[in-house]
Amino acid sequence: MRRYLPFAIIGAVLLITAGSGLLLFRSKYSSMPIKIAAGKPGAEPPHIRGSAKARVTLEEFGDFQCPPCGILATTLLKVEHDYRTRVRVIFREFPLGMHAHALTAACAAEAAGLQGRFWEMHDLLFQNSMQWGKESPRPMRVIPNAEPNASPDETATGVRGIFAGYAATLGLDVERFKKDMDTEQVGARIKSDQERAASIGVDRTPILFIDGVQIPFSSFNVDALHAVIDANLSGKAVAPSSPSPTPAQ
Amino acid sequence: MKNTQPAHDHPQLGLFSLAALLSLGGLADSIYLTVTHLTGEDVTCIASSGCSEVLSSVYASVGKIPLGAFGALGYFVAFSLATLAAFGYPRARTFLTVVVAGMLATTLWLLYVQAFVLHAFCDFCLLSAALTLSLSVIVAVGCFRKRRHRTATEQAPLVES
Repeated sequence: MRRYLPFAIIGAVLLITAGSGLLLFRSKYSSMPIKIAAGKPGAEPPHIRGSAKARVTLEEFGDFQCPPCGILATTLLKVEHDYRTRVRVIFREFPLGMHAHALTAACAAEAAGLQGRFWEMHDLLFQNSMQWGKESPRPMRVIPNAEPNASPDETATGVRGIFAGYAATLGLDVERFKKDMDTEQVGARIKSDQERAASIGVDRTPILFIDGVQIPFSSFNVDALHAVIDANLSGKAVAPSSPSPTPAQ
Repeated sequence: MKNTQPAHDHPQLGLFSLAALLSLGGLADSIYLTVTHLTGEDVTCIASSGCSEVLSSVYASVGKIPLGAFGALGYFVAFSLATLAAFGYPRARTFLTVVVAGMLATTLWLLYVQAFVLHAFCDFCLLSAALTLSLSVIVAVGCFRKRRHRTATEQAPLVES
C-alpha cells in the first residue's frame, strides 16, 4: 500500500491543479462575450477614427497605462489600415485604479480631444506608456477608479509635465490643454464612459467589441480580427467562440 | 554482526516534504500567472509596481505559450520528484537535483531580465524566484547529507572490525 501512496498523492495533486486551473480560467472568462444593447450611456460624441459610413464598428474600452491595451492599439492600427473606410474604431475611457497615472492620461487624451487631437494624443500615450508609466506618483496613493472628478492629478506632477510636452509636440495650445485636463467636461466624459463600461459588465482592460459583440482576448490579433470583420462585412457574423453561453444585455 | 543501515532517514523525509510543499506553492503561483495571461487580465502588484510591464513583455511567453505554463510544469515535476524522494526512491533525488538546477538557472535569468532589461519587478515572479531559491537550498542540503551519510555508512564496518 505504502508503495503506491506517493503516486496516489501525485495523481491527486495533478487532478486538483488541473481542476482549479480550469475553474479559475472559467471564472475569469465566463462573462465573455457580452453584447452591447442600444441606449447604454457613454461619452457623446464618442471618439471615432475611420469613416462615419463604415459597415463595421470596433469599440474598445482601454486604459493608457495598461500594456495589453498598447499592444491592442498597434493591432487595431493595422486593422484600420487593412480595411480603410470599411471599419471605424471607437475608444472608450476605462482608467483602472491599479494604474497610478491612467486617469491622468485619460484626462490628457480628453483634453487633447477638446482641441480636436484626441487620436494623436491617444497614439502618443500608448507609444510612450512605458516611459511615463514609470513616473513616481507623489504622494504614493492609488487614484480611485470611479471618481474622475476627485482631483485627478494631485498624484502625478511628473506625468502632467510629460503630457504637456506631448501637447506641445502635437501643436496644441498647451496652456489651454493644462487647464482643460482639470475641467468638469473632461471628467464627465471619462465618468460617462466608465458608466457605459459598468452598465455592460466591463471590469478590465482591454475589452473590444465588434458590432456590439465582445471579442475574446485570445482573438486580439490581426488574423482573428480579420476573420470576425470579414464575417460581419459579408453578413455572416458569428459569435466568437466562448466557453459559456452569450448573455444578452 | 550489527545492521548498520538506518531503518528510515527522517531528516531527509522532512527535507523532501518541505520541498514538495514549496513546489505546491510555486505551482499555484504559476497556474495563476498562466490563467491571467490567457484571459488577458492585468495583474495587480502589491509590493512592487512592475507587474504589467513584466507580464506583458516579450519575455513573458515563448511563442504563444505563457512562461507561467512552463513554470507550472517545472513545479509539478519538482513536486512529484520531491514526493517520491520523501518516500525513499533514491533516483528521484538525482532527477530532482537536475530539475531544480534547471529551474534555478531559469530563475536567475529571469531576475536578470527584470533587473537589467525591463527595469521592473513583478511580485508573483519574485515569489516564484524565492520559492525556487528555497528549493535549491533544500536540494543542496539533501545532497550534502546524502554524501555525508554514504561516507559514514562506508566507514562503519571498518570501525566495528
